[in-house]
Amino acid sequence: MSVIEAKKLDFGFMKEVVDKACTAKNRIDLYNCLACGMCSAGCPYNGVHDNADPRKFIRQLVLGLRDEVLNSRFIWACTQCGRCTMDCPMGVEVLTLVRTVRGNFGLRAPGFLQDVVDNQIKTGNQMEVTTEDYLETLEWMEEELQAEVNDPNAKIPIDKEGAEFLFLWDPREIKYYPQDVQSIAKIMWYVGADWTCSSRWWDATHYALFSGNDEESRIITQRYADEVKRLKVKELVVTECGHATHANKWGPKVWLDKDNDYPVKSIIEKYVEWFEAGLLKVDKTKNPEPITLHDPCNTVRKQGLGDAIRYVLNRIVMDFREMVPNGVYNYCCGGGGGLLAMGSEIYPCRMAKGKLKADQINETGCKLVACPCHNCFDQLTDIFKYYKMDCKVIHLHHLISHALIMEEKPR
Amino acid sequence: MASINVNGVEIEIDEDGFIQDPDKWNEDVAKFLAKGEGVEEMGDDHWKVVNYLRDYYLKFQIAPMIRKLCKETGFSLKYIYELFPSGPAKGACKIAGLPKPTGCV
Repeated sequence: MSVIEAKKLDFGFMKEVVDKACTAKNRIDLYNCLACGMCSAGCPYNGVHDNADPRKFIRQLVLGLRDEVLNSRFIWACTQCGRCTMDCPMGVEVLTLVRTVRGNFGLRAPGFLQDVVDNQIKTGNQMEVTTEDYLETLEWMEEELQAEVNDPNAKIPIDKEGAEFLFLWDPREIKYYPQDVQSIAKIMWYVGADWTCSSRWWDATHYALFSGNDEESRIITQRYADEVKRLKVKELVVTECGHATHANKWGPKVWLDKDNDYPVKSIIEKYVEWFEAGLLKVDKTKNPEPITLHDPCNTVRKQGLGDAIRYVLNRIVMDFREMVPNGVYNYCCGGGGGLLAMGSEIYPCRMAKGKLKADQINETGCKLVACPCHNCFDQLTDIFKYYKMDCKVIHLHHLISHALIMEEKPR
Repeated sequence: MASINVNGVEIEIDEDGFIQDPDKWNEDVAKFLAKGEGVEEMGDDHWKVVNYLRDYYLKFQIAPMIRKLCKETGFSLKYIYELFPSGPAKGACKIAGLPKPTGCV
């Protein structure tokens, strides 16, 4: 048992954290903890590995155990998934407290998390892709698409002023998975989307969401606000990436003071719109395999797109099976909150958390997991390898793009 | 830190199995890593990809764009996936002894 020394308590600590907290809600609500422990019951990882007890973290904050909090493993091992708050009777945003502590007290994240943020600030994208390489890849995929669909008018527009929406990529699509670019562009072509890419700021990702540095978050978010203006688009649309969806939807309101009300959508919402408008015609018999869905926390719990994903899935696959629990109560993949960039130090926690997801997937009997998030995608792939599962992850756009009914292309 | 042993030489690997020190790389290490990535036999085309990746990395300290990889080897993206089922980033780069790319890979 450890001893708490009264003279070491810093009674102003909780206030300091709350005052610095970045939230779209009322900061004062962060004081509402009743110490009931429902958060610890709600956190799926409490007991899965050490230092995964949100109640203990909040109690330490309230008591003013400053050093214990700042040196804790908890603040880095937490995936900021928000599952604990689902069970909190007072709705205390534990993930906000975690993010605030991470980013406002001179701490450096384990692993290479900060390098990713630095790269994005410095080069405009987290993978240091040059503008020339980026444009060349888009051009290459445009040529591949034109050959695939046999239509020289299949385009990947760049800097098209007045387009309906500006589309942001995940740099890994550009650098390592260009086939994703082709797959997404194929859907855009099929529905006749009036879209554009930016040559200037195009990286949807946002690792400062995980590092907790609000100044860096502001810089990154301002870039897209500026692009929306420069290109005179009606809305911003984000690729299938969970944290990027959350950061771009929620971020402008908390990090920008003006011109922060431009509409931001996930491409998943566009799929729904296109289905509703009769523009997307998909032959679901092309996707006959039993498939389950991993709900990305940022897309579903935080941005409420669970129904939208299911709307799409039910139209593109034959045999969709839910894992349990699912939707807003789903478990995190174990790689959220920047954990994938935290290196070997956090890896054991990440794989321990992943066991829950492995069990969930195994219980569905599916070998295929749909997941509209790149971060979860990698964590799931790592889980499959670690727990020797014969499974595969797939994005929604792949399920759509290879099952489009060419004869029924609308325009 | 975990390690692998190739011909009696201990080589440190990170949590995802990427070797830590690119100088420790040699063809036997590549063959060893290839088995973990579903490549049983390294053929000429595998070596062409791996050698290109390695040369590029030693020159620029960063992995090349997949665009460049396809252009320089003359292989289609589809063929590269046939050669390396776990893909160019996690498969071919790992076999070529590149450290794990930072960022969302």
